[in-house]
Amino acid sequence: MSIDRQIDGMNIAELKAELEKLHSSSFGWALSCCRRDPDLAEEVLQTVYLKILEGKAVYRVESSIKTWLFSVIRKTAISEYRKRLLLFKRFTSDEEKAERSSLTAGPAANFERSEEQSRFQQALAELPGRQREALHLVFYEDISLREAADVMGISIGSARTHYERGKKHLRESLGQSEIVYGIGWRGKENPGAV
Amino acid sequence: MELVGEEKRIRALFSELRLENESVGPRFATVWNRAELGTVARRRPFRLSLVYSMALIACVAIFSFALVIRNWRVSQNPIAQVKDDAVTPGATAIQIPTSEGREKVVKQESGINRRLRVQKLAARRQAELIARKAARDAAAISKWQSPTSALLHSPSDEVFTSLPQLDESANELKSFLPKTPQ
Repeated sequence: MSIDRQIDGMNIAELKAELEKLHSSSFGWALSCCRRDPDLAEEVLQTVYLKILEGKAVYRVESSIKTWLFSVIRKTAISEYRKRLLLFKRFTSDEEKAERSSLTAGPAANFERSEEQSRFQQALAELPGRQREALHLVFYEDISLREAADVMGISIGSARTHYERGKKHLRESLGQSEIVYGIGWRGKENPGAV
Repeated sequence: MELVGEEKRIRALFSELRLENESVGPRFATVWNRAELGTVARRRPFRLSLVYSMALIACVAIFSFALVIRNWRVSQNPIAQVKDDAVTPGATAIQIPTSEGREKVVKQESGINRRLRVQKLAARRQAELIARKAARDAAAISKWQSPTSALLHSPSDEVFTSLPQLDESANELKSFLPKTPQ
């Protein structure tokens, strides 16, 4: 495949450089879209790059590269996740499922997490998809709600609603674990509020 | 105030998550090169059960196909087969236009007719034989008698089957009676 190929006015080499800059964020976003399955996230990212190289995903200068790329990643992750879920349900026994889930958790579990981080990730995983996406885009990627709405393919009003609800749910989940574990959540920031 | 504090906390937790993601993430060059090669590494585990089931399905399909083909061949009319052989656009079809070829075809057809006639005659004879045998069997069955039927008869059967005359007994008794002077 020719690297010098032009994609909608943008040289593929330039696009590659941009993608390289965004690679870390892209992987984080893919992980979030794939329910923190690193294998699937990597596969999704590879499929996205393949789509770009084959010209199936074309960047038009209507939005920022990041918004466009994240949108492609999100769509690809959804389709790949569905495919995998279907295969997983059809051909995997219960024992294999258990084995697989332990393997999936492997690399992330090896990372030394704080207890609070573990609870946070658990709370994040329990959130509905849209809410998790909105929170990830705003807090992790530090992008505006408008851009987040573009990535998610919804209106800014809906994005705001998901964002607010997500924050509320996250607060509630972490508050509950605070009671269970006896660790201050609000108390750290505002002791009088507890 | 509390909300702002919470947002900061969430942001801090997300930053920590970012660090974790960066530690497990693949290198850009690796993923890009794989994509460039067009080989999407789908790491699906090899499933023996799937292979077995596919092989079984294939075997069943081949076997049923063979059966169907065999039945179809058997059900084909032999005349049609021979005609087809004669008419097929092969070497014979090209040789037919000559008069000798035509004669050959006529001879073949007459041979087939003769064979058919013989077959019909044989079938009729067979049917007649079967009918005759059935009639013979029926006659034998109607004449059959049980070997123990003789035991059912006795010499005194006549007594039970015939009626005595009115004065017959009295006359017989008289002969036994002593002759007394009157």
